[in-house]
Amino acid sequence: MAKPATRFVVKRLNWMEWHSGRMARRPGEVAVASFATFDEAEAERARREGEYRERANPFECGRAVRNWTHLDEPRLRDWLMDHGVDPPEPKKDGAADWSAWWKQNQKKLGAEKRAAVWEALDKVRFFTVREEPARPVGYAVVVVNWEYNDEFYDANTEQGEVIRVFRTRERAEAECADNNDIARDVWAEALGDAEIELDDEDEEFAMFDMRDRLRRRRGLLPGEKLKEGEGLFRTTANVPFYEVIEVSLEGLE
Amino acid sequence: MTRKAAPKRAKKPAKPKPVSAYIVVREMVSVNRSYTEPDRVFLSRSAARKHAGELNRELRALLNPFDDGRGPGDLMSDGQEAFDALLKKLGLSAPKKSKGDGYLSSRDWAAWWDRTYYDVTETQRDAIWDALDEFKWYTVTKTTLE
Repeated sequence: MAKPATRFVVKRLNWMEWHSGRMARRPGEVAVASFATFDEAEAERARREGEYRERANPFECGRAVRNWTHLDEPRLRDWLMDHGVDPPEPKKDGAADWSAWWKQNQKKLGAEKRAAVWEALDKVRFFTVREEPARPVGYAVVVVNWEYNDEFYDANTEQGEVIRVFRTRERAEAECADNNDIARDVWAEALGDAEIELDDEDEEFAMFDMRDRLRRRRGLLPGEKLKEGEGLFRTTANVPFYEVIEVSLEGLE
Repeated sequence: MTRKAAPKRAKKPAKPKPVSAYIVVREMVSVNRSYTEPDRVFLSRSAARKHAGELNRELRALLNPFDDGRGPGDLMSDGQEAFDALLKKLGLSAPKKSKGDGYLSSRDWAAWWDRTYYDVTETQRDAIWDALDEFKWYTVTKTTLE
């Protein structure tokens, strides 16, 4: 039997914004490009990785040395010094502020030493290449998890309960639209949308905020912004209570 | 006189029959019931189970089990004492309690995990993960594909 055709897929690893502007990696990855050969995929991975490295502080990708590298801290320090990089001095409590050190020194280090630091931090990678069989795609309709935080409703960044999966986007979008119509009516009544006065004082206020969800989906780094007003909803009118996400179908050709 | 044959109606494409399928999700700590979003849908439960196993191995490698503020007492059905006994059996020391009386004293388990990470062997770490039976892992659930 012929081996199924494979593709080389560039995937973005699942980094998400965590507390105080730090990032945390979670299981999972998102396909961003697909190629017939490994060399093409690897070139694209390297290009994207390089772009992220220009913008990211690797020491904010997790809060502890174990999140950054397989080396323990003394070995990390030795490795850096062997490559001509002076690591930060530990403070009185023995901990070093690696993040602040990077912010202050990354430009001074120059390209070669910066690359050496990234090489040592082998757990901070944003993209990878996977060889996978070419699979069909399906479309899952998911309920967005809107949680109230005592001020407004916030869409959880990575959560959504699956309702049903469709083979075509068209059918999934139709199901999603029907569900949204019903949900918007229910939420509007519960929240008293009709009574909300959109006066100037409250112009900045949005009852529904899904900016973090959008930022994660687009792979934005801390501090990188969306367009003004994007992901904010003052009333229930256009709020996505349901969304369609793409999933690959395995064994369901 | 012969009757003109009625034009054939164009056949509507048949609606695909719904089939049972499987997804791999992880229940999250949340006010509402909520799960991670799946990336794949499987025809066979065993293939889905295999994928769940891969994601759970990734979880162990990436996560600090105490990162969301919960301690061993919350993550183990036998409670804190059983966890302390496990650490003793593994030859590991628990973090010291912070200053304070009664409920004000606490142990920073998340910092302990990060601090001792390189001193703990893979076998010891696996034994700790295995003991945390209240931790939410990726599991297989059924869904419908249409």
